[in-house]
Amino acid sequence: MSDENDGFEEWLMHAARDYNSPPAETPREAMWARIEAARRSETRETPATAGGPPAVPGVIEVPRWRWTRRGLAAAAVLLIGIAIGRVSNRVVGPTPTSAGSNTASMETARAASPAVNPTTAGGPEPLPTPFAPRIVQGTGNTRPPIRRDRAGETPRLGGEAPNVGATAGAFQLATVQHLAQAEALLTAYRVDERAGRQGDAQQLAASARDLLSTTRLLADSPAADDPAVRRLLEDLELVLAQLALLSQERSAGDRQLIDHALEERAVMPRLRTAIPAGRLSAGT
Amino acid sequence: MRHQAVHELGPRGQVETKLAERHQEQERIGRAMAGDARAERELYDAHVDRVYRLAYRLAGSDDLAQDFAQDAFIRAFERLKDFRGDSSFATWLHAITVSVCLNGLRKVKRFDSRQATLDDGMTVFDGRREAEPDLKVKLKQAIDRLPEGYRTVFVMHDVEGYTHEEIGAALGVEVGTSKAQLSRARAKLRDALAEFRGEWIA
Repeated sequence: MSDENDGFEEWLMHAARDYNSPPAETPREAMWARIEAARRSETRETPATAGGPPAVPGVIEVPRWRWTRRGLAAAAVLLIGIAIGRVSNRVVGPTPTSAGSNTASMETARAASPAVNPTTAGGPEPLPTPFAPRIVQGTGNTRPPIRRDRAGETPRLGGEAPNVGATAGAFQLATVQHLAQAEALLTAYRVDERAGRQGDAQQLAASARDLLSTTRLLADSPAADDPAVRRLLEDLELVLAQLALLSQERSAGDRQLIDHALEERAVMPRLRTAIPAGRLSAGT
Repeated sequence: MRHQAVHELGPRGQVETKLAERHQEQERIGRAMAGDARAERELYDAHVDRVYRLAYRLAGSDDLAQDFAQDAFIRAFERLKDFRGDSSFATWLHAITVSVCLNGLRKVKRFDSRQATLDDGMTVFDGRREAEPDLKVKLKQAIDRLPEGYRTVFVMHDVEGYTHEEIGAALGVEVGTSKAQLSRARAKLRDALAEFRGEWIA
């Protein structure tokens, strides 16, 4: 009897019916509630996000979360490098005289924000770029709050800054990579939770702390000029902060808080939406 | 009940019913494009069962299936303006679903790679000579281990009953490619399940 007519295919089709057999009832209301939440969140931000998620060609591969630190380091270096480049190339007013030396690295990175507040800048005129450095005066009290209405604070003078497009692209890329890493970490956490695996809580918390630092850095950078990205970063910050505090025991209360934050703010769908999709073969 | 009613209509009645359904769907899509939330819900209700089933078959867990299905709808609603109607809405939506599922599963697999390696080692160690190997478990393992493309086609065709035309449209491949991948998937499963040959040779 040949392989072709020995009944294997019929048997296989019958036997495979049990493969990953779905439940009889589709949880349609639960899914719809989450879809609505995610859509509401997107709709709220539509005016500023008419262009959709950041456009990065190709598929952004998400590294395994064990490699998160390496990716974060690259993103941080990118941000800091851009900020340093901006400082060295574009500061034309008086140099900061009261900025302490201890503000060097992080403040330089944070300085990669569009804001030059005339009241704190000390210079005679605003710097001609949305990514101009913010001059830090004093050692901390004068630092402007992180969340601001950047549009109202700093005029956009894109015509005078030829590298703005490239820099914005770099920030966009760093943001997308960061969001992909955050999604990877949160997916790993959820998969472990659902499988009942405890995993390495210390490693998880450490990774969350790393991501939290970069999240805050990005939230205070031009990457957060887009209100949709800023809100996502803010919500992500909350979830990561909870993960960073997760203890080895992973109490039910801790997990509930994280799950609640993830669900209520529809963080996962928004993350996935913000990250450019892989190749879609939809034949429209 | 509904299928029974449709069959009672006869061939001409069936065609008319299908045309009416298609017209109704086009009207829903138009309203959804215009921002009508109720139309979105109607589209969701009409397609969610099949989308969820497909996501579940590919993902193998309720949580992941829900994640993937809702993500597919979010993406579909966002891209509705790109839908030109060259294919049916269902085909377009299922293409998005498959894409979301495969991308999501790749990520999950990367996280689980260490666990999978451990499982593989265990299987190699005490695999073939088990006293009473469980056929269902072996079949599931064999399907899980198929290359991604083979598994997707196999699940869509042999498990969920999609046609090769639908699979080709959803995966963006030729019908012939879909058939070839199904054939290779079956051949691999035949090899993997060789020890159970008596089950299908009656």
